[in-house]
This record gives sequence, structure tokens and C-alpha cells, in this order.
Amino acid sequence: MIGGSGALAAVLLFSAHAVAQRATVVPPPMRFESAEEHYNYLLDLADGGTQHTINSLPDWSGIWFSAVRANSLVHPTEMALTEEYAARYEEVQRQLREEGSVDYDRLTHCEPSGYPRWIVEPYFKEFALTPAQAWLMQDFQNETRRVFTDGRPHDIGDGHTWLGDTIGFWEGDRLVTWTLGVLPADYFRGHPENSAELQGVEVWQRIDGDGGERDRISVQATMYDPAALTEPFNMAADYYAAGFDYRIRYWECTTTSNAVQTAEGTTTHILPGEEDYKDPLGSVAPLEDVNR
Amino acid sequence: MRTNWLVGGYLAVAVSIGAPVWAHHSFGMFDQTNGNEVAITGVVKRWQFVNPHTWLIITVDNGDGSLTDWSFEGSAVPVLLQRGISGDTFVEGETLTVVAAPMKDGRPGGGMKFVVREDGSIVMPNDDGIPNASALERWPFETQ
Repeated sequence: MIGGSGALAAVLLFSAHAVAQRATVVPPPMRFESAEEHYNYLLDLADGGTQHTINSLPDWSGIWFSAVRANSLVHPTEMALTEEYAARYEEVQRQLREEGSVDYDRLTHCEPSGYPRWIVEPYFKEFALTPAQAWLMQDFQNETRRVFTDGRPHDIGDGHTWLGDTIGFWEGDRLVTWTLGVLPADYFRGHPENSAELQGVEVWQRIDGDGGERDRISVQATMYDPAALTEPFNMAADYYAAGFDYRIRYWECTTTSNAVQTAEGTTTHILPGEEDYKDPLGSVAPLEDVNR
Repeated sequence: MRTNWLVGGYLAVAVSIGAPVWAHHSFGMFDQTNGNEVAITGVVKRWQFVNPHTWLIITVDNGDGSLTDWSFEGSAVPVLLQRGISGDTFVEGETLTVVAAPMKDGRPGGGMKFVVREDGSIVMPNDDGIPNASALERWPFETQ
């Protein structure tokens, strides 16, 4: 039997892939009044953007993972919140302080992470780049953000959606995006909420790792939300190149999660053998079962 | 240090409380506030290596002829793959001890802190919402 330092040494063997470096925020060059102003400033700076061909686009292939603390969100938040949103955040903080956890998280009933939470969810990211569109894909419930880089303007169609509408352009190997038309959601569990007025400008870039560090794809984002923020909020996240083989499969929450909301508004689990329990492996079927 | 397994019972110890960071949902159903931990030894019935969260189900012999299935929640698949933990890490029929934050309502389940194999090696499938540093430092626990 091992214990103490021996046990910890064994644990480290299982932590070899972990990366625990908080993403560093690089603020934009000046303060902008809106996402539109910010985006157009960068577009002008890039002389309208780089017109890539399929062969000149950067290589963002592979699986990219978020590490613990690979985003810049902290408690207490550094956001300048309006009075209404500050009060909501304080209630969440009270739950964390007094109960050790938030009472409930909207993902429990299988809502998408949505934007801006998509940026920091710790599920795998994958990228597909073409001259006209960049697809930013997430393992979490197959949420794909389509970034239109062909010069078309925003179009939110019939209304706001979880991931909103995103347009963008390339400046060399950097992808600049502008997102609007989102739904009221949150930055992450236990963090402040955002309103549907939120708009975000992001700058994406692949950065080569130095000194044995993994390559990463980094995003610097600025959120503008006149209903929730009194000042723009800058955040960052890094996604590291996975050193293991993994294929993203389709999955959704309704058949794999037994987390539910109680009558008191808190969260609990339905356990195996209890009424309404869903076998999460029921959606992964061997061929003989499929043909049965 | 003498090791005593607490089978099917609770071992109250002090743990540090950390804010949940990466979980898909709240961990409010697990008793972390009072610092209670359980160390449950049983035989692996299923290792559900699925998103949004993994689950380890072990069958515990209660010593009176009855068996109880205990269910323990782990972190998400992408987080565990970063730690070298896969769908093959736990094998059906394998005997393990799971150290966990218990369900507040007393049902047979919890949030995994770490798992101890029969040879004493430790695996950490826990979510960061279930901090385990304090428990690891004190492992193996001693009973009164």
C-alpha cells in the first residue's frame, strides 16, 4: 500500500497531459464604444483583410483542448457590471460562499453553452477553415460557430440564437470575428450573466509552443453589453494541441445526463435503479444491438 | 501507516472547499460543505465513459448478504483524456475503493475525489468541482 508522497507520485503519472496556465488577456489597442467600432477599426487596420486561398490559410487542424485555468475568468469577476447584473452575480457568489456550489446551472436541463460561454467550455475544439467560412466547432453538444469571412454583413434572420451570427476576416494568420444576435445566458457557471444585447469581437491565432510547450490556439475577446456591462470586458482563452488521438462523436445531453432540478430549485442526480434513470451508454450501441 | 477501509460507511474528515470550475452542472448535491468523505470499496459494475460527465458504478457487499450499487460522478471525457484516463481505465469486475464527496440526501452515490486500486495506485477521474488535494494528503485515512 502506498500513501502520502507515494500516492501523489502515482497521481502525477495521470496528470502528465494537464496544462495549467491561465490565459493572458491582451487588451485591444484602445477603448471602443461598441463591437462594431472595434471590428471596423481592426478591419481598416488590416486594409480590408487578407484574401486567403485554401492553400494559404493557417493550419488549425487537429483536436484542441482547454485546460484548467486556460481561460482568464476569475472570481470575483473583473467585469464592470450594471447594478442589475451585479446583484444577480452577487447571489451566485453567495451560493458559492455559503453552500460551496451554485444551486443550479442552466446546462443541467441541457441548454447549449451558447455565446459567450462557448469560448470557455472545457470540451474539445476543432476548426475547419475555408476562404469563405471558418467553422469553430465544439465537442459540447456539437455546437458549431460559423464565421462568414466572405464579406457578407450580419443577418440574424428571425431573431437571436444561442451562438448568434458571426462575421469575420483574416489578417494574415489571425482571424478577427464579430458576433451579435445572442440569447441571454452567462459567461460560465458561477460567473455573471450576459444580455441579448451582448456583442463580441474576437481575435484568434495559432501560437507555436516554446521550449517544449504545446502549440495553442489563442483567442482574445472583448465583450460589449450595454445592458449588463458599464465597460467593455476583455477575456482570453487558450486551446492546446491534444497529444492523444480522439475523434469527436455526436452527443447530446438529453440521453446522457441524469442531472435534474429539484422542486427547491437545486440540482441532483437520478441514480441507476431509480425511476426515470437514463442509461447514458444507451446511445452507444454495438452493431448487433443496432441490427436487433 | 495503518490503512482501514471504511466499507459502506462514512468517514468524516476536513476538506478544503473550492469553487466549482469546470463541471457541466452544479455539484450542490454532494456534501462538500461539511467536509464529509466516503471511502467505498466495491467491484466495478460499469464505467460510463461518456459526456457530459463520466460515472463509475461499483457493487458493494454490505456484509449481510445484500449488495448495493454505488454511483460516483467523474469529470468530462475531454478532461480525463488529458490525464491519460480512458474508457479502459476501469474494468468490470475489478475491485476498487472510491473516495468521494457523498450525496447530501444519503443515497448511495457521490462525487469522486479519487480512486484507489488494489495495489494502492491512485487514479483521479474527479471533476475540478470536487477538489481532492486535502484528501490526497491525508490518504490513507485512519479510522478511530
